[in-house]
Amino acid sequence: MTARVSVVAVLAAVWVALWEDVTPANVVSGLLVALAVTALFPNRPEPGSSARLRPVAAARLLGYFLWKLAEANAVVAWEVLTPTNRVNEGIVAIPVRGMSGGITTIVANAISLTPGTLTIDVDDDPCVLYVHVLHLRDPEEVRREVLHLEALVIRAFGPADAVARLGGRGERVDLAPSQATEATREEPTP
Amino acid sequence: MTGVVDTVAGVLVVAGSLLALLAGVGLHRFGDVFTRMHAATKPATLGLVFVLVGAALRASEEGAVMKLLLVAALQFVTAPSGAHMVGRAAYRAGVPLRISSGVEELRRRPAAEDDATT
Amino acid sequence: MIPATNLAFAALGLAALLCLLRLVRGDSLADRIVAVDSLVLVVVAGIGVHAARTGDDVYLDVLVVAALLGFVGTTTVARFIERRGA
Repeated sequence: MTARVSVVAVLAAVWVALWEDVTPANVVSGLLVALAVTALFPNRPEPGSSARLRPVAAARLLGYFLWKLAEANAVVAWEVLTPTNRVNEGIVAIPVRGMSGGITTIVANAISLTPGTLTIDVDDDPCVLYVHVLHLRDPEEVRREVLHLEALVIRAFGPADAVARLGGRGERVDLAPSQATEATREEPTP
Repeated sequence: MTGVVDTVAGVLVVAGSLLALLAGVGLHRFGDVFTRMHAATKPATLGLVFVLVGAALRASEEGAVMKLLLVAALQFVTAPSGAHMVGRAAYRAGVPLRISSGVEELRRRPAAEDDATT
Repeated sequence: MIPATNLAFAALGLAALLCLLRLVRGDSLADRIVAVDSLVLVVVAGIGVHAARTGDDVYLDVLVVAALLGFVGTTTVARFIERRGA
């Protein structure tokens, strides 16, 4: 239910932005169109507990993401502009926690915009992301980084029990490699 | 005040266009589809967002600002999704792929097998 | 603003040319769709630069539609590649 409210709000905001003006008529017609669209194309409810938005964690995720986006551009720019070719491609399989479709989608999209990585394929159940890496040094390092990113996303949008399972409140839980891989092995069986 | 805003807008527009140019050069500097997609997604997205924010700073009406920022926000969703779709399709279709590191933890699956489910 | 947008237009023009070159040379259908996708982004950016140059918002609807059509086109061809091969 709350999911539908937020979808309707976003769709109505898009509608108003497209009309370029915030008038009562635009807001009301936007809400009506959004209600019609969500009624025609209902979102299949996902099993498990509901998602929510935590503003502080979301802001931290946004900051991390924007920083990584800038870094990604610097990496590609360096590779394009310097004559030496340091490309060392590889495809790494990353078993993620796979909390929900929405969270995995955000993680997969964020990966594509972070330095030297591009999501190529996704497996469901157990949830595995296949990531194309531009400068591969150590597959474990890539896995750790993606799990850290996923932890940030779960903290921002995930259900409360998932956040609790992430463990301590420090955001660096995933930096110990053994801990990170063990966590993912346990997660798929809730 | 408007002088400062205009200068920032000008810098953003030029920087964004140069990032788009960088993406264009990347399309030729890289050797296979997947590395080219790295070039096409990241700089092109950030470049377009820079240009749109620059245009929004110069826009005379609020409505235009809303529309430009809407496109910028959509870009963050559509660019990686599109790249993911193309990458998956290319991989499954067997487009030549360079793996200089030797790490390839994904096996090619027949495309037909997945068609029934999607 | 005019000199800055001149420079921006020059960069975008060159970028469009490079995308077209990749579109012609291809190698595979996937390369071509990546090129077209980038080309659409360059066009959208060009409309944005025009809006910044003139303060004119007539073309903003074109900008929205072009950006969305670019995504729809990419997705469609990606599905085509997946079925028929590149």
